[in-house]
Amino acid sequence: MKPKKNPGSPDYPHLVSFVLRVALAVPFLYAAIAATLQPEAWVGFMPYFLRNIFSESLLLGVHSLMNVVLALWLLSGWKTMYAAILSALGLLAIIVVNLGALDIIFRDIGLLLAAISLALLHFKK
Amino acid sequence: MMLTLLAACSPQEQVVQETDEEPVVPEEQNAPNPTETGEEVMPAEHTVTITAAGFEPKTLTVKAGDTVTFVNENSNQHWPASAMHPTHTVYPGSDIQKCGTSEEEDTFDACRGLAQGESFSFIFNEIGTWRYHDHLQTSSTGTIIVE
Repeated sequence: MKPKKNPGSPDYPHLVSFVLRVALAVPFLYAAIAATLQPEAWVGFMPYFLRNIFSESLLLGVHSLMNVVLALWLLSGWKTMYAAILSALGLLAIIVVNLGALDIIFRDIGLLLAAISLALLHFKK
Repeated sequence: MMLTLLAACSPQEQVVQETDEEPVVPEEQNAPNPTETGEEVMPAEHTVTITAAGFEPKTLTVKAGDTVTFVNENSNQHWPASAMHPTHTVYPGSDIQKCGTSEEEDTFDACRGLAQGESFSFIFNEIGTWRYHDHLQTSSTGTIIVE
């Protein structure tokens, strides 16, 4: 007898996971490269309370490094749930800090939901 | 409209063309003289202050040809520029790529961070609703409505 399929589970979990991981990794890598090549266009997303403590170049450097690490972690497929949770937290922070620029960061809301979906996909009881 | 009237009254437009062609009189030249109607013809000047809370006023309505001056009253640098971040291309003719070029003056873009006390002025000739932002703090935005 064929086991009853959980209605919430996808037919191709590995493929779904792969697509979601790439979907998150690509913008993370893009952001890291773009922030390095054109820092003045990205520093505006950093909140002033951080910029008044740390130098802008340091903040952008850390931001780019974190993005690269997260992108590679997601692509590796290793402990994906934790990578997805970290991605979601990072995206949530970007959205909250830049709510006034919703016409720019609205895409991040989609990415946040993709990260949550990925975390749920890899959640194991 | 005001700008059109001004342009129609400017000396450049009053130069007689020495051609055999029948001169084409713009429709605006048949309009009543603004000075006769008591209508103000001088472009107005407006000020938008930049503080820690952002732009004030957030929305400003001006006439075409008016000048808006953005004054930074905050200790942090601020860079008013046309939407969208980071290209600044929404206002016609504006583009961050023009900063540092001979076309910079024609762009709705301070093209640099304004220190406390510094200002940036721009003449709005294009009618429309123009959103702008602080390039150095993208969540800070404002709107100029040009009528």
